[in-house]
Amino acid sequence: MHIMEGYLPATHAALWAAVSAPFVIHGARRITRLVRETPEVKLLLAASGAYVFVLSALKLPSVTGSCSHPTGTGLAATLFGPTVTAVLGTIVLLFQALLLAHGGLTTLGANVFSMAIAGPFVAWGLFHGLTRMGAGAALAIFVAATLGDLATYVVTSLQLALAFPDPAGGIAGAASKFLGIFALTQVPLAISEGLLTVVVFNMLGRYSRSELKALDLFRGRVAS
Amino acid sequence: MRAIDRAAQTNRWRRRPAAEKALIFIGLMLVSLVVAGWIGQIVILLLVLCLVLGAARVGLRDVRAAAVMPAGFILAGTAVQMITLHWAGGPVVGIADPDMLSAAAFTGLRSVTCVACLIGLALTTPLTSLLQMIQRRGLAPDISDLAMMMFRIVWLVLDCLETGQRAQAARLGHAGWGRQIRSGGRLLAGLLPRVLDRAQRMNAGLAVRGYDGRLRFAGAEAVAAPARLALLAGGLVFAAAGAAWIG
Repeated sequence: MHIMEGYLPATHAALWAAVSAPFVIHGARRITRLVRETPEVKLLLAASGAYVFVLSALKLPSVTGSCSHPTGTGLAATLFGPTVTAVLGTIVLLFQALLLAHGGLTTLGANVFSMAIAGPFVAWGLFHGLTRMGAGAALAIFVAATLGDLATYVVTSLQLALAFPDPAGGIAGAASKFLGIFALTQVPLAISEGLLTVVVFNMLGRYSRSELKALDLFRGRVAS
Repeated sequence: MRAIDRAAQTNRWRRRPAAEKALIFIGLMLVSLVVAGWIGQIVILLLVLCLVLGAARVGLRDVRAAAVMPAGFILAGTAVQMITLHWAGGPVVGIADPDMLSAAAFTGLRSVTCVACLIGLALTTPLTSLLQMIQRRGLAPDISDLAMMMFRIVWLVLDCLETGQRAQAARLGHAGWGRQIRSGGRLLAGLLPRVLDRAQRMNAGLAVRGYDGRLRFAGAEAVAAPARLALLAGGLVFAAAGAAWIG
């Protein structure tokens, strides 16, 4: 779920764009340098970006009976690294705004921060932290994808709470309201996304080792 | 997505410069976001609908289909703003005071107007035209080229995804929650090698054609005339002043 066009006040929209810009500019500079050194990586990156976009087009069943789509941040951050995901996520969010009317241009900065920066960094950190602590890959990817998805929605709730504080409960009250609403739908969806990502990850490891090696070509140099 | 792209490619404004359409719709969006009050929002909303349905002749069905998802978010967000929550020994929920109700309704209306502007731009201007326009305005060529390639590959991948989904559904792969998760996982896992394979083949094809790092799209739009852009910008300043005056 992205914040819709015009929903945030102008000052908040500008602030979130300013907060997100350094991450995206940093990622874009790294990608530019990499593409100049290794031109063939550009298509690999474009294909990976298209894959991230299509991830969000896959309908996912929810325990609540509703149907939604994964954010794809957990899998993307694990496969491509958080810096690449920040740039690819920005392009994906722009495409979603202009091809699906989902999200917006004035709210792009806020959505980039929640979906392309906060979620991927949480997922990437959890995956590497858990695997270093000796957790199995399946558990690590499940936790990373689930909490990466939830982190996106927690940040979105905080962004909305900062923009629209509750008159009685303040920012904390507003955050509780938005988190409460999202918890109904998003916790089951995040668990669904975690399970889905484990299935994808296991099958990629079993049948697509050569493709994963190709992804390592740029992950090691662009990520971190 | 296909409906929005089809409308963008076939509307009566297809050959108008992308810069003009972006200036009109993004300009009206900024006027709505920054200065317009209640009446101003309604005037801008009606103006955008007239431009999209009347001047660009986009079908009402396409507009409605594009607006469904944003409308759901706006309704949910506005409803949440209309209740209050505070802690007094436990959570206390109530209806917000009239000022807060009014502010929530205004935010909802402003969002509807801005979404109408976004939909107006999306339904009248193909994404490739907007990307080329941004590229001409100084976006790093490597990043804009990456976006252009992503755009091309997205359609191929979507095609693979939909074919796979149909095949899985026909084989009862979507019967039940657990089976749907497994089917989705298998589909996505199978998709990545296909996407990367297509990318490698495209790379090889481009390399033998002397690819120099720049993908070029044939543009159907007329060249933007500075005088017309200046006139439109003047009109937007006038609209902003009018919106501020009427509230």
